[in-house]
Amino acid sequence: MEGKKINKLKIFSIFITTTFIFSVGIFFGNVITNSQLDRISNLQQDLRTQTLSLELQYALASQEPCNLTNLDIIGDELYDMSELLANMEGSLGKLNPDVLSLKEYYSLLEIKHWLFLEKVSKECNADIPIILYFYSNLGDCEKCERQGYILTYLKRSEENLNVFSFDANIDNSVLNGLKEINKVEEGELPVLIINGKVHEGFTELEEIKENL
Amino acid sequence: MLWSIFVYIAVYFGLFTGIFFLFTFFENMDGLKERKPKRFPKVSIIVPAYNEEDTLKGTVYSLLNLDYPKDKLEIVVVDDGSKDKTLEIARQFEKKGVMVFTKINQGGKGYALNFGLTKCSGEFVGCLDADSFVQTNALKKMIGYFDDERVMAVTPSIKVWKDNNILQKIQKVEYLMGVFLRKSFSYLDSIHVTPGPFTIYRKKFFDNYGGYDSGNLTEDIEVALRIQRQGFRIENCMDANVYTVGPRTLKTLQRQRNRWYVGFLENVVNYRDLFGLKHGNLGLLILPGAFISVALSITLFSYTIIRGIFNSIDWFFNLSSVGFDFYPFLARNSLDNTLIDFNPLRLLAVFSLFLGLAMVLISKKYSKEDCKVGFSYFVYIIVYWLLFAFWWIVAINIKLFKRKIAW
Repeated sequence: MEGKKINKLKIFSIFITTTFIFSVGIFFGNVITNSQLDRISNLQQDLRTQTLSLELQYALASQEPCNLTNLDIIGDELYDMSELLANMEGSLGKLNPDVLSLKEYYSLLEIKHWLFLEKVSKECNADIPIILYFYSNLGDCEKCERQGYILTYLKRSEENLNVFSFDANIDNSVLNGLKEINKVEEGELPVLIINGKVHEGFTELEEIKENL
Repeated sequence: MLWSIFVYIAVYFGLFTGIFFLFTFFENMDGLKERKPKRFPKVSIIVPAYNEEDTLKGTVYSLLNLDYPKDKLEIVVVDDGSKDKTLEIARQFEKKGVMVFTKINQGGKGYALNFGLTKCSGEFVGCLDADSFVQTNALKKMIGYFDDERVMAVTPSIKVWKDNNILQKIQKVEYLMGVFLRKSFSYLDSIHVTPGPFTIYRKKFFDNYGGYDSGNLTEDIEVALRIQRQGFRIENCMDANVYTVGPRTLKTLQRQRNRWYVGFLENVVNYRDLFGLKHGNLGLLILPGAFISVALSITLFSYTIIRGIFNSIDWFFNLSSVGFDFYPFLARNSLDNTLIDFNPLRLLAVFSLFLGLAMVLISKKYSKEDCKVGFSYFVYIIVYWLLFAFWWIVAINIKLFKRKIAW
């Protein structure tokens, strides 16, 4: 029985035990979270392989170069990848260097696939609806969340639609070039480029549909 | 960022207190040994009853069935001016030796208890609320603790009698958690509530230091703090079980908690000298810890509610922007991702849940309770902390704006 007196040694032991458990929790929590980052990284590698193989298929298919079937799948997976990255942002923070690095790579994959789709669209005279979406999630774009919601809705409702979303804050020379061409830096976010036409600020669902 | 730091601090505090109480419990396992009484002194039990016609019979029968020498047990029913058949039912027990008195209701249980004290002749005295039932061996198990002359009160383990709805299931787990905590508090000499249902007191304490504080909202907290202030001890007998009926509706539960929490605040303010080094564990850890946990709960609750409201507004406007057509969002993600968001905070929260579950299971084992708690614990974890914070917000509001509380 301890009685009324405080047992300082006991308090100290519990402090050490709690701190140990707390640290182990943080360590394993980070290990699990980092393993998820690795998983996203692997998924991105798969996507990279898929985009590369698609381009090679296109180059090799001399008879029917415009009869490719994987276009939609890659577009869908690329878009869904953005949701995984958003989850990781929620867990690790928007400024986490690993998350930023994955997002940068993701943006490059998107640009690569977008350029390929543009090429297929011209050479095959195919009608491929494309939306480029520039956003910021650092609190300086009030309507970006709702714009993203509308685009997810459109992407999930219209099978052929290709939406490429870019974090305007990522500093990458290729992405910067794309922003410069479309004057994204000067405009009010969110910015949508629907089939080549730039729309600054929030764009309603109906307006997007009209321009597709 | 600031919010994350706050949540980490709250989790650390929760872990620390959980480990502290578990450590205390296992460190003092000797305290669980049965204290066989050297003698069977006379014990008087007061049953204050106000409009308890439905439960009084069961309460008195449970006392009559106590495994204790009949000539050493005095049962005193005090009808506190009931408007129903409480007095009539009580009178039926007079032929079994139960003493029955009636008085005008003065608006508080303390008055009835003080009235009862004047009629008692036992060396020890206890109270059993007229909606509670006592296990047959409880008194025998408790009385042995009084062999230590410094012990002025012994508390039992209080449990919820039936859990017919979600609210009662939550209370069942809450009371089981209380069983564990009260035992741990007893090892630290820090029990600060001697509950109405069947706490047994050494009567000379009331003779020397006055009876119950009649007008007090929580006279059981006041007596406990008075015993602590005088430097005496309060013990707990973990396997002496008393069952009480938990409020069935949110309204009655809210009323009960208003009384408990406002009463706690008032008594702690009146006994603020108990804070500090002089009263050791109680003054430096338990009482300050209680206030810290309330402050943390209220902050977490407020943030969660405010965030919930903003998220709901966003969700509403987002859905309105697509004409409330949510069907496309139900489609599966093409990556078939099984990504689990298991950040460190969630891992620590899961660990804390297991600590809480350990406390409940320990309570079950050592208080010899065989009820199932799996589902109830799940409900408790989700709902209780929200209710706890809400009750405290209401109690603080009542205190700040000096609103009246109905008994």
